[in-house]
Amino acid sequence: MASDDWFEAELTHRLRTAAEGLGAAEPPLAELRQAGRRRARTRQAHRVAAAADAVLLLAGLGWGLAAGGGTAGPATGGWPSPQAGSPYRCPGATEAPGRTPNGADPTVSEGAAQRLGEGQYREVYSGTCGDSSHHAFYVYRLRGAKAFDQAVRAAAEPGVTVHFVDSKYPQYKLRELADRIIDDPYWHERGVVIQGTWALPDGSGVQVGVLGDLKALRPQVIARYGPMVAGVEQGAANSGY
Amino acid sequence: MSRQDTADPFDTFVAARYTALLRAAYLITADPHEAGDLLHDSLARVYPKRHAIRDPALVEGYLRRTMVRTHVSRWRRSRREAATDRPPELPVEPAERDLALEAALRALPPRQRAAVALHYYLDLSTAQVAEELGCSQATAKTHLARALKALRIRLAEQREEAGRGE
Repeated sequence: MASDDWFEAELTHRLRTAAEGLGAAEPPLAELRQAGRRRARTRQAHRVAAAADAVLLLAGLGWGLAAGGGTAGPATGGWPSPQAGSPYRCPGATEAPGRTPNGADPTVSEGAAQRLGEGQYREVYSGTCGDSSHHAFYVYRLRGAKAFDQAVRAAAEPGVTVHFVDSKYPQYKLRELADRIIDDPYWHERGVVIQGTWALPDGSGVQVGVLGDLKALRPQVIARYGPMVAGVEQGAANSGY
Repeated sequence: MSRQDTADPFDTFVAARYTALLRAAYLITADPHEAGDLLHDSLARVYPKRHAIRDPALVEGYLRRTMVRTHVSRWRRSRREAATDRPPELPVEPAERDLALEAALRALPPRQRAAVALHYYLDLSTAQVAEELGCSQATAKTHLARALKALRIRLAEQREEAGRGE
């Protein structure tokens, strides 16, 4: 048996053994049904919010309202970038749910912003990060995206603060590059493993995970793809794609 | 099981396939606790659409695709969206965990990890893996080849380390 075949056979065996280590389990059917119904209600709320958003947007356009950068709640002119620390989570954010005093869930408003950004506003949308403990979330979008800002603001529930932050690249462009890098035969031909690529949610670029001599590979990767590469790191620890 | 539990064909399906789905979720996440979370999240996503799935034979594939895409999407979104208020809960802890394998799988990007679980555990062809991942067959093959290479390196390193420790 060839070495590759042997390894594949060993891997298959280990995967099966590991999976079968999980014994038979009873599904919590009642709780799952309840979670499903809750999700159905949330989806319905999103549809209503999107419809309301469209109406408001049309009304806003009709009345000639101009949207400025800022928030649905308190104003945040010149808010510093929350990306100073980890690019993956808002600074100070916790995993704890943080409903507003009127019971609004910031993640619902953030989800509505994501759907708008990944839909009709993809040209300007980069990503979001949540800060539920402060009843807030951040929206990364290209500078001057007034219609998108207005749509997000209209979709946000009362009491939820939206911070708008200028970004460099829209998410869809970064995902295209992320796909291009990971599928690029150039590296395979040179024996380099691109372990993963990630379109960073702050729109600053694509993070690339490699296996090999990082010092040598970093400049090569940046030279090949240009400034949209935000960083090159060893392994796939932070790769999400 | 109560009458209410058996009334909905989707519940019957979940009751019958729950353990198998949980095992697949375990390999997709490489974490027994995240597996329960992912499966429950995916079931909650599919639940509102269950009546729209005309062919019951397709339910499992649909649910599996939901799990894979939810898993990849979670990474992309930095775990921003919680589908349920209920904390993740693993019904059964694995009797004996292959921690070296779990660590090697966790080091893979989620798409590569999902491709490994689909191909080497669920025995899907590369065409089916591509369909489940929502990518071309060539890309699926790339994911599998890279995952295999990385796993081979990491598992060999772990073996060497274990050998040195003895």
